[in-house]
Amino acid sequence: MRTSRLIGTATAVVAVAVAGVLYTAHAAKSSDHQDTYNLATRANTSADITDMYVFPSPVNAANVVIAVNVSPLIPAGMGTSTFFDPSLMWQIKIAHGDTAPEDQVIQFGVTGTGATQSVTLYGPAAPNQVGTANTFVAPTATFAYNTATQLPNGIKVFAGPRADPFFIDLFALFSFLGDRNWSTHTSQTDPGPETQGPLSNGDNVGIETADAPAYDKTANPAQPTFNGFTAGTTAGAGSALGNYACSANPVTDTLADLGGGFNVLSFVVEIPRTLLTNGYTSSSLHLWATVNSSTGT
Amino acid sequence: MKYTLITAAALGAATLGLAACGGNTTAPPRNLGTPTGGLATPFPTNPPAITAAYTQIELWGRPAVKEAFENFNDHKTTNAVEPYVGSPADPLQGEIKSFEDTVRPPSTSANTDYGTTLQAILYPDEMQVNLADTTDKASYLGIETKGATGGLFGGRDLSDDVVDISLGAAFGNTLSKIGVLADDGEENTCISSDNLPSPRASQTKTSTFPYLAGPH
Repeated sequence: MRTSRLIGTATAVVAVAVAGVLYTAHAAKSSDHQDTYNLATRANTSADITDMYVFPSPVNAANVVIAVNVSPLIPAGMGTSTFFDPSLMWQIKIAHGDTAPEDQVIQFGVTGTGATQSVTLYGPAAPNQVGTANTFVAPTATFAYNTATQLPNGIKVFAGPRADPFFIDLFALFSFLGDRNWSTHTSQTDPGPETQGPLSNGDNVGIETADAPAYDKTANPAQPTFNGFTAGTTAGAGSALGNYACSANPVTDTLADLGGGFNVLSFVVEIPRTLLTNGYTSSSLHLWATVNSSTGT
Repeated sequence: MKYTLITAAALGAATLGLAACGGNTTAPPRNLGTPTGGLATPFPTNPPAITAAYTQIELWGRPAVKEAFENFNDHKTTNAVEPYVGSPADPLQGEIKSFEDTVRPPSTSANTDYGTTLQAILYPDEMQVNLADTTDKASYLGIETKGATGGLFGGRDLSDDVVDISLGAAFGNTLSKIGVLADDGEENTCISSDNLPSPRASQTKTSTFPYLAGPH
């Protein structure tokens, strides 16, 4: 027993070290990946929302699916050993018929740590408070990490690792919006490349040379361009930045092409539309997602 | 090296647990129950009630808006406010216009102001969905563009190319094509698309819940 525990610990340490190198090699942000310096450097990055998706259920037209992804850039093979931070509250906020205020919330909280942690769905229900300081509404059900679960009220829930569905040529973006790469900042308050003006090349700092193509690292941010254009394509005669040549260099699907692809942690809820519309005067919804912390940081 | 150490520590903490973080740390008894339609059943009980208030530290409303238009150093401010609070509490609203004006200034000859128009379309930073629409598929900015991006359900599908949709609206000729604004002739082709091909299998829906592809 003692021997197997030691082996397990050693394996975990090696895995962590390898993951650290991989993660560093691909330190980057995209849709909302690594949104601030503090979110990117938290001990547990599940406070960092990458994306939200809302779409009709592909198997039941009466249902809608909402997915909120967190924990950006989990290396391939590390998904099932990445967990949620139990000090956080994840929320989907909904305003019916107008942009504000929120009049319905769906919340998630996590109990425990590691592979045995459980996830509790709260709501959907009217929020206890409107604004940025919130408490949990009444719990609906608790289920296991990384386990698709059917609830009695027609709701399906899942919380666990998934492949990151977001796609972008991130290296090309950083070739003229280098400020958006958190690695170009040294603290939560460091303005970084924005002091150079709205367009800057962050030289893909924090990303190893082997990953970022040289043409993206050395591109001229005053003539911003993505890659993959037909040779001879230009910005256009009316471009305020000049009529320069667009890049014909190869594109990179950064989150899928590198290191076997990256993962996120996903909260997915499939819910009957009626649970989001009954009792409200409008079926037109405005949605946004937040993460709240019990420690305030 | 700095980031290697930071990240290794982060992943180590995630692997070894976060008992010191506060919040819920005691797992209830596990009971996966009898699968229902291939899905598990919930635990028989919920954890003890939590009455403490949690403070907002992260906000997400639309894809690629903060990233395209807002200085990175201002994200921390936007993350701590409601997405509808507006200027000056939320710097995002003003920066949508100021950034757009840099690349695509208002045109007196075409009588267009793309910055002001985008500001009105993209702020508040919230996703719009019409649940009364039971026929259309999800399509990012579907409601704002009156269906031009694929339907009137709105929302966002896993395979929606939100980067090209956003770039086309901000720097291409998407808005003039759908009649929102006149063609100002100021589009910048080099940043109107990132030219990625169709999404990979891991970036599209699977046939069963939870529909997002399994981890790499």
